[in-house]
Amino acid sequence: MSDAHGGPKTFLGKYVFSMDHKVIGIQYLITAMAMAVVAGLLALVIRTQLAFPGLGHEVKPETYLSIVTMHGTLMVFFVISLGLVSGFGNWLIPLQVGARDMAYPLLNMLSYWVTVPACFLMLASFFVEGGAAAAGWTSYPPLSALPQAVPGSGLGTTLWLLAMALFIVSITMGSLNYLTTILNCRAPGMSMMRMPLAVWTYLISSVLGLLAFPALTAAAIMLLFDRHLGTSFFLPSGMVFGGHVLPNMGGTPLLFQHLFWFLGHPEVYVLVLPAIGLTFEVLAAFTRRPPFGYRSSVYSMLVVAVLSVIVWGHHMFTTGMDPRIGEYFSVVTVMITIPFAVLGLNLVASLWRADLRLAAPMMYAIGVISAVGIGGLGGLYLGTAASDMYFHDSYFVVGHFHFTIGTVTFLSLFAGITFWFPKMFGRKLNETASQLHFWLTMVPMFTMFLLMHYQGMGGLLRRTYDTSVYEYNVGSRWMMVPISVLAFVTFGAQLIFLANFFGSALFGKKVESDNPWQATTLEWSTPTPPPHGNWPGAVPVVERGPYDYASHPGADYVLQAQAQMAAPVGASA
Amino acid sequence: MKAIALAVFFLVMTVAVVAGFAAGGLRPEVASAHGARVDTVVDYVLCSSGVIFVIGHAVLFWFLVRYSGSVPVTYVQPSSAVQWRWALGVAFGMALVSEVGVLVLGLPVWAEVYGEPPADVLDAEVVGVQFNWLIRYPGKDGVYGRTDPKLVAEWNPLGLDEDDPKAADDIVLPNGRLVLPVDRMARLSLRSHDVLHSFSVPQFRTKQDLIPGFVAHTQFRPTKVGTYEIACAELCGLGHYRMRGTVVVMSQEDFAAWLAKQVGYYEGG
Amino acid sequence: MSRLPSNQRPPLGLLAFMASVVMLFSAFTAAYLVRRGGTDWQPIALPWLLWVNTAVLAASSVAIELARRRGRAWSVATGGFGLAFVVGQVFAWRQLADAGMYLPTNPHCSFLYLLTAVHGMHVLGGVGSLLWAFGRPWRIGTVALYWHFMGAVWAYLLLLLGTV
Repeated sequence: MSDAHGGPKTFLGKYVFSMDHKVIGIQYLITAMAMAVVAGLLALVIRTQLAFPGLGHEVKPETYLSIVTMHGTLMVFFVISLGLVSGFGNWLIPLQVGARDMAYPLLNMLSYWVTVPACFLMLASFFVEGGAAAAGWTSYPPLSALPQAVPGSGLGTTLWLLAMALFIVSITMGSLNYLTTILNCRAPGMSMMRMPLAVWTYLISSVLGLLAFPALTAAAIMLLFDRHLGTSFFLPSGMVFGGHVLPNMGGTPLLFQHLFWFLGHPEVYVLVLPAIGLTFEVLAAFTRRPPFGYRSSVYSMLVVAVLSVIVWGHHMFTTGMDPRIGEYFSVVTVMITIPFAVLGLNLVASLWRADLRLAAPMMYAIGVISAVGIGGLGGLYLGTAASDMYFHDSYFVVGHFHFTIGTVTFLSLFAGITFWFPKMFGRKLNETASQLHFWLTMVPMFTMFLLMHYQGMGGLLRRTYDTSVYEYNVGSRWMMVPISVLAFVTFGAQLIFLANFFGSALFGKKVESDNPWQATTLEWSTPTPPPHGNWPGAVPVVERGPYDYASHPGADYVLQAQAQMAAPVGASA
Repeated sequence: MKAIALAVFFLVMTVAVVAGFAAGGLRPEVASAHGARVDTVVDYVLCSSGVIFVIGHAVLFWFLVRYSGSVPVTYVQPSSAVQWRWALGVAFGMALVSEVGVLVLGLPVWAEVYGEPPADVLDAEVVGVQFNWLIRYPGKDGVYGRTDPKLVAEWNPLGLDEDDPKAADDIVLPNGRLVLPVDRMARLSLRSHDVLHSFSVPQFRTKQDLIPGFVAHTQFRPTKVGTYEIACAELCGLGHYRMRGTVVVMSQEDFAAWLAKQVGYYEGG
Repeated sequence: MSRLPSNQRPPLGLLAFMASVVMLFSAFTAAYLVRRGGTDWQPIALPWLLWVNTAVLAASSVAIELARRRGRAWSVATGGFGLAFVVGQVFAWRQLADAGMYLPTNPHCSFLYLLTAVHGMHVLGGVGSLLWAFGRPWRIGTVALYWHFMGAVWAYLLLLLGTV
């Protein structure tokens, strides 16, 4: 691909069925925001029932379980993956590697339009007989296979499985697009070690996704067969419901768990690694320094990716597997803290001797650093098999994953959105609103999910419609109320963000510069917003690394697009 | 200003988290032998992760305060060697902390729960159904009688086979009440009639899934007389939240007396 | 950095997708091996039609190589063979059903239906990709790679179902 060529002319071609990665990225982001509102409302219903059972007497156990299931499903796949991986990945990667567009623009467009019916199927499942799937986002059989086990396992689960199949098709298309673009379409001179850290994270995330999602595809297909075609992949002999013995023979529910978590564990790094990548980008621009430990970060991410594929059994410590296998999984799981410790070091050390500029993107980024620490350390309690015996299926797990794939990913999404918004839309977000949103999001999120860790320490179990049935957990129950109140605060704060985002995108003050943050990476050397084909002239030739901050006397920063010159161009400090 | 606010927030966070570590006391009082060891592992992780957390946030706090002001800062990019030395040092330190927990403290616990039971072990069976725990003791012959799912009925919730002589003396407690002697290892066989369940007793630090089609085992030695709750720890349907049972731990004499009074399922009237 | 021109490099996107497909069938293989260890494993004889279909699939691989060299007519032939293969698989299921072997009859049987169905879907995808490459000879090489790959997967599945 050489010079930028003429793009589509019709409204449909430009904004609906666009093959431009930037438009597709924004489509994904907006869809993720819509799904986030739904998933967030579901969370509020959960929190109401937990904190004020009786007030929510309209929330029956079947409704509650469906809502818990769908909240998790929508958040993991249709908000975080859709927004962070599909949304930002699409918008950012070609710009940061110096490509005109993704390697396969048509496939890219299709990947978005496959997601849309997936969203509809998920939402539609609430309105069918039996309600939405209710066996948890993990959908373990036999509960998820048999409508007589729980109402949501009727049509609701079938729709869930079909929606997931479509989602997996979409993310497969996206992953191979990212992989090909990053490996094959970089600007001349951009070696792998000159790529921005965010690009590395998307590369690794895509490889993980390509290799891990098929396990869930296989599991979903076999579950559909068990549900509708009478097979017994996961259904054992001798199950009794309502006095009737089911005809299934010989299957094992554990097989589903192995397949599910073979995907499930890498999946969380598919989400967390890009979150860390985006954070590094923001840190660089707002510390005016290259991030500490570029190479060790890259190698750490690769180690995380490799380890993530061989540790899935730590979700299954209590299933009665051979204890030697359990020990193996425990030993290898806690090894993941090692590369994450290096990443944590690099994140913190990037602030060393920095020239801190605390605009909104940076506030979120700093929040991410702390969240990575808390979330990551919490993993030690769960990865150590002996202590997991106590914490498995408790609120400790809920707090842990809400910190890691909730707080870390959400804060990084906001960091990314506030950072790149001017380039995306050519307008400025309201900085005060962003700062307010930051505080009203970060403080409640940290507090809520920390309290959940304490509840888990008290042994409170998850997916529980009414916790007052037990007496042993009475010490933890009082925390339900503050958590629920904070959940409402958090949700309300997101309305500030949405108003800011859409209001500014349509009516915000126009930016005066193509590079308002004075950042270095290639996307900041395009017009604002970037046209179809990204660079009106030739694609930049890269002759330096991505973070030339404070590395040339007299120049605060040098654009990565800047060729080697006697006197580097860039603003003075 | 913003930096100070952030730094203060992290300070508050650190205090809260450290206070939370003290609230490791939220754990219900431990009442089993291996449970005490589990608590040791948790205490270890609390301390070690706590130290790491405090150090990390102290550094974060310091950087925010020091580098957000107007005092100019000289910066030279650290050399590659320096960056690698820090990375490897942190990596090594983290490896030590995490693996000591797993290998030194954790392995013995795991071995106790899954290892060979002692000679005087008490066998009992727990069958999970939606939404109750069915308890069975093998009786004087020490052997469980045959059960068949086809025989499951309201009056025979376990599906115990009347024609099996070994079933006659089986003691069945169909109301979710497990009775055990103190200071004696109990080994439970765990099964399910329908979906996944999980047998957990928080005070024993015990948790084992019940998987239909499979017999799992777990063992523990209760160390305190008392009544404890069995909580289902794997989502099993609408009644999951109320699938509550009890474990009654008695002195060994009381247990012997209680056992002697029990009638075999197909014995007596 | 010097590179081969893009039409001489292996198509990375397709290779990535193939890796994904390999993982899919690996997951099914793992499931198969787990189930194989169960006490109720009773392997059934493979219906003879599967061997006919194999020959048809092999012919289609030859056809696509000819399409690469000789042009569109052979593309159509490839597609025809591909469709014939899939139809043949459906008839093989009929053979099984006539012998009293239905999808839920026993686990080996279930996997036979399942794996042939999943493979068949992927072959249909291949037929669709022939349309994408129709009249565009620079794309045929990519389709050929996928086509032979699906043939190799079929050989593997036959081996698995027939001997393991």
